[in-house]
Amino acid sequence: MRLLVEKAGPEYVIGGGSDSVPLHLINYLKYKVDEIDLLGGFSKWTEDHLPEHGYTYTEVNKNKTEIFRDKEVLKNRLFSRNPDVIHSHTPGYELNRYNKELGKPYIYTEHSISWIYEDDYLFDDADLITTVTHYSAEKIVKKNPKKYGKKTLVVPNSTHFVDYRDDPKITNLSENLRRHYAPNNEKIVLTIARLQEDKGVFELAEAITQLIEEGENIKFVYAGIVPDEESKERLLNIFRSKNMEDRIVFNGKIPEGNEEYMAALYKCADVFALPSDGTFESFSVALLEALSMETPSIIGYQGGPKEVFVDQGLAVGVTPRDVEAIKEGIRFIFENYEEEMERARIASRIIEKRYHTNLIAEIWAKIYEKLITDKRIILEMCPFKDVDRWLAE
Amino acid sequence: MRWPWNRVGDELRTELERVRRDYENYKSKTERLIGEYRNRIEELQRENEELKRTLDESIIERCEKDLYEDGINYGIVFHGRKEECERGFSILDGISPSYTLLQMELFDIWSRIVDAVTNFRILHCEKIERDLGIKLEKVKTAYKIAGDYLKRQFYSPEIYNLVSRLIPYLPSRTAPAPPYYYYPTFYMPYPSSYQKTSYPYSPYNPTKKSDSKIVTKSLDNVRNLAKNLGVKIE
Repeated sequence: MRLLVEKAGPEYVIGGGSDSVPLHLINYLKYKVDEIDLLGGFSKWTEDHLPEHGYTYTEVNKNKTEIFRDKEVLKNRLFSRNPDVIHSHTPGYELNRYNKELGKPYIYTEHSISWIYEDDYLFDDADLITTVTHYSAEKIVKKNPKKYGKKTLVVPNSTHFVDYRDDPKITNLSENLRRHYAPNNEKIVLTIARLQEDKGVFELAEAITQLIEEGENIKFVYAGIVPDEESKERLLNIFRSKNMEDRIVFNGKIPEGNEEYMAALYKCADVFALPSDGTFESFSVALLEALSMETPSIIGYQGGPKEVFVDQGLAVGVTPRDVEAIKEGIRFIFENYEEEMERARIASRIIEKRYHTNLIAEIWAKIYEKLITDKRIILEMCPFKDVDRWLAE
Repeated sequence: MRWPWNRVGDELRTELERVRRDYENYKSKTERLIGEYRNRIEELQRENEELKRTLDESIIERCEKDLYEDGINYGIVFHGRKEECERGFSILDGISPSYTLLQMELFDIWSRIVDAVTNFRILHCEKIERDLGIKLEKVKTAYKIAGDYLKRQFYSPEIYNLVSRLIPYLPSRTAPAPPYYYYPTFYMPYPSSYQKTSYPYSPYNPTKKSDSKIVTKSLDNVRNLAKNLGVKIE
């Protein structure tokens, strides 16, 4: 079986769930399917203007990457490879047209909430729509229950960070990081998120400064993609205005392939907080990773994260982007630290069992096989289905 | 006896003499010109160095691509001083013509602030002149000079930092950005307006303070879930 995976970012660059999830899956899938090709950087945002990096086409098993600057040449390459099944993690009008023209079983995975409102052309053309939570699935199906209800499936996101959980090297690294970040025994509150309004980082910073004023000994560690200097200044100014510059550690984007550092960062934190409002948050892989490393976590009580983490009891939910609620949440974890540690510990085991990339990759391999054998799948009975139930039938 | 060939020799000598004189004239003239050019070049280099230094000190961002400091080339480039004058920025004498659009907007605001203050002061002077019947021409001129000076101080760190606090409220920042800016991709440079404009679809409704809450499930709940999934938690 030759699988074609399509993602938004070029090659092995990670820019969010829709980039990291397919990449991590590929690492496991390459032992489960014969060949994998990865098309990167070609999405609805780069169709009109060629991005600096060009479009990348990688033959994963051969570890060979080509860069294309011409769409026609790229299209020819795509057709010459002739994949057996296509799995697209990114929207794109032209991409969708190519996929349709290829005429092979075509899966589209919806990673965002806001795209749901405008990606009808994808939902129409894909043979199978998958979402990462029931919340998003419901939203898609609601648009056209007759049409989409029969081909929408819920396959959760995955992580392999649990593999680092008991790794002595990571533990050592995290202890070093802790000594470095919190020399005065501060409690570390960590967030790893794109520095933009919807992630609630600014509100989190405000909450932390208020907690410090109220006598808590906290250090705020930030890491993530910083889209502009202004946002960085805005975040730093929240601390500067209260003379708390020494209470924030500002890391930029953690480079790709630096997973061990990231795992150690999660592990060294006392609390991981992501009070995002769900504008783009449909699952939160970051929280999955934080919980894998047994770090008690706070998440915006809304949409996908609410369904996956809060309602299952894996993390503490707070009103999204609400300073008071975030403060309360952090304080709750500090006050019930033993209990919350136990919660994170159990959550990590649940993630290992249910959301490990190896397991999810296996599920995907089964889906691809099923799709190749009978392309026109119809999911009967219910408007959208859990993948476990569907595969068990 | 003067032989014909002697005559030829004399003529040849005078000719040679003339050529030598011409050559020497030419040589000295060329040397003088070379000297002049060298001086001119040195002078230009000095000027250039000085200009570079001034630019480095006074301009924060001069890259053409960074007109809006977001890495996008909007295809707008300012060449030379002429356009600047047309735009009424002759005040920025000696400052690079390729200052960013953002700086242009900021400067516009700054000069309006200064003008407003200066005008107010001059009006105040005029009121005193009317009321007390005294001439305050020198004071008014002093205010004008001070105003011009303040405008020129736009690039000083104190004033630039002060004015740049207005960036989020600039018209260019509050106008909606092209649709592809709204999406969370890492490679797309966002203009800062991303923060200010509303998202295309926001399922989230801002909550009131009184709605603030935290939600936690009991630990037994998680334990049961683990048990149901067959996860060993001991």
